[in-house]
Amino acid sequence: MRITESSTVVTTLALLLALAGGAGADAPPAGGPEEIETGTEAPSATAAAPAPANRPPEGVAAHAATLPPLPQADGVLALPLAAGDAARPFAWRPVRDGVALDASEAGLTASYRVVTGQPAGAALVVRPGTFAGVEDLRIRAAANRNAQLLVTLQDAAGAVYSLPAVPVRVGTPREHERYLDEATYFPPQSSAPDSGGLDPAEIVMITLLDISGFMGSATPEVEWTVEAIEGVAR
Amino acid sequence: MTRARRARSPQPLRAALVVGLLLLAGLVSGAAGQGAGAPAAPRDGLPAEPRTEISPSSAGANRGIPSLHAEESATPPAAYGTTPTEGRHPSAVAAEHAFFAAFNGGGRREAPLRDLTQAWAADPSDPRTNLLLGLNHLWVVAEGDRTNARILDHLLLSEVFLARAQALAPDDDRIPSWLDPVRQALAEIEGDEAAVETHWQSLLAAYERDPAFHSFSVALQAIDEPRGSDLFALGYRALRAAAESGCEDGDPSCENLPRWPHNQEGYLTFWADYELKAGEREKAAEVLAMVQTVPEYETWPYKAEVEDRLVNLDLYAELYANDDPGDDPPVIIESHGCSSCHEG
Repeated sequence: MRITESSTVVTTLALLLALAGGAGADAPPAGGPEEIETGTEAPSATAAAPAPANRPPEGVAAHAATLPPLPQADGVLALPLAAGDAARPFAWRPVRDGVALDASEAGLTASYRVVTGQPAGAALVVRPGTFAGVEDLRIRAAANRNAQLLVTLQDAAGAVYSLPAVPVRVGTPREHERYLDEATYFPPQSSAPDSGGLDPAEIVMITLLDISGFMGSATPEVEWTVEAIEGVAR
Repeated sequence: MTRARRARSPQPLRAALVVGLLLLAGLVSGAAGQGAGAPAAPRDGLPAEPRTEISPSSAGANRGIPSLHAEESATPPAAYGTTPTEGRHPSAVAAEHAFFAAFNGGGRREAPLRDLTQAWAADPSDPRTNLLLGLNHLWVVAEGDRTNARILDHLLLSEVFLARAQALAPDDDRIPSWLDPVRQALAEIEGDEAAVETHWQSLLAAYERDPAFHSFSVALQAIDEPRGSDLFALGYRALRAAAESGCEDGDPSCENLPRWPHNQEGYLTFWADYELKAGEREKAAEVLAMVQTVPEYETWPYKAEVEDRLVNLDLYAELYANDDPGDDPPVIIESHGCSSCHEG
């Protein structure tokens, strides 16, 4: 199945415009919704037409339900970074064309050129319940240049919540911790209303988004590597 | 001395500026020119000689570490690390304990806000409660999510309470180091260049009165500027002069104390970042080595930052030297904000 989650990222644009005091001459054009495709072919999946924006993401939720559970070890959930196989059919997917992913046990590397007005990044679909009990995420990452990775978490109903962005920098990979109770509802990317707060047990997709394309007019080549993403249950 | 638009902002997006501004260090994107009362003019955009050499073994090493602490004021040295109780509402005392428990203990940034706000409601005239409430909101701004517009709530509230603290404690001349950058950031968002200039001048005036203390805030605002710029040179000179001139014996702002347990490590690493960006690789290495001699270094949560710089010194020097600020290496204060010095 081609997992396509048509969502708008107008929220990012809107909040940046709000930060800028409005869509003035300095702001990027407020165009139509930008689609975030969760990407390429999923293992053992059948094709499906892209869903229109703001339609419940049956595709993601349905695919998530077919995935095997990811066990926690000593309260730590280690998200897979390497390309999956039949036994572990997990796959990070680029969120748009032009994003190349290199997935291995050593880490997930995303390479792309920043495109003005578009995010870049990768998404991973997981079975509901995977994040049950998880209170925070630890993300260890580095990049070839400075960027902010927005971490979003989508629940089975289609509501999307964002965590404080993770700064990625050159040099030694750095670990960043983000608490799930800091997640805030991310309306335009969501296809369901806020249920009152993120329920980690309902998470079916995690996305790492570089929003540099909304932050300026430069379009550099970017490469970042995530060495580990761990959910920690207390 | 006037302020000029930062020269290296290649993108005209105010959004990028504003988001980028939301650092404790970089709350303002302004640049400062040279003028009356300014430090000596830079040579080729960099601070002029002479330099005072500091080595780990030299007398007074690590003494010139003025920083921006929430608890210095006029408190007798013996009382540093304690919370005044006389004449204060019990909830204010409890809230202050809660604030420092979180601030020094690696706690959640927003956790103390409820208690502090409740304490403020119980006694709005308590200057310390106002100050700590303003600083708590500033802490959230400095280390919080710069992609979430709601962080501006904290910026606004920081201004409110720091301004009240200043009104209640007009003799507390530390407050400009926090309040002026906050006001500059708000003015920047509103596009009020005159106000930006006013608050920048206010901070510079505070710096003139007390260079040791306010050098840190001046330097924080200049670290992102191009290294050939006047503002970068001003920040560099301010930080280096404060570090090298040393402090009076017993000056708490130069010590590691319970409420700023890694002041020296944070300050010196920041200085090393400045040196590296200024092209002074060897000096940066020297200062980093100095950091490792601080007695509390082994317990510093961010000592990996020093080790990272030592491993990548050549790479970082090259990245600073190119014309692309987008790949500049990490700066300690930008990476870890207030926690660089305050997290124990």
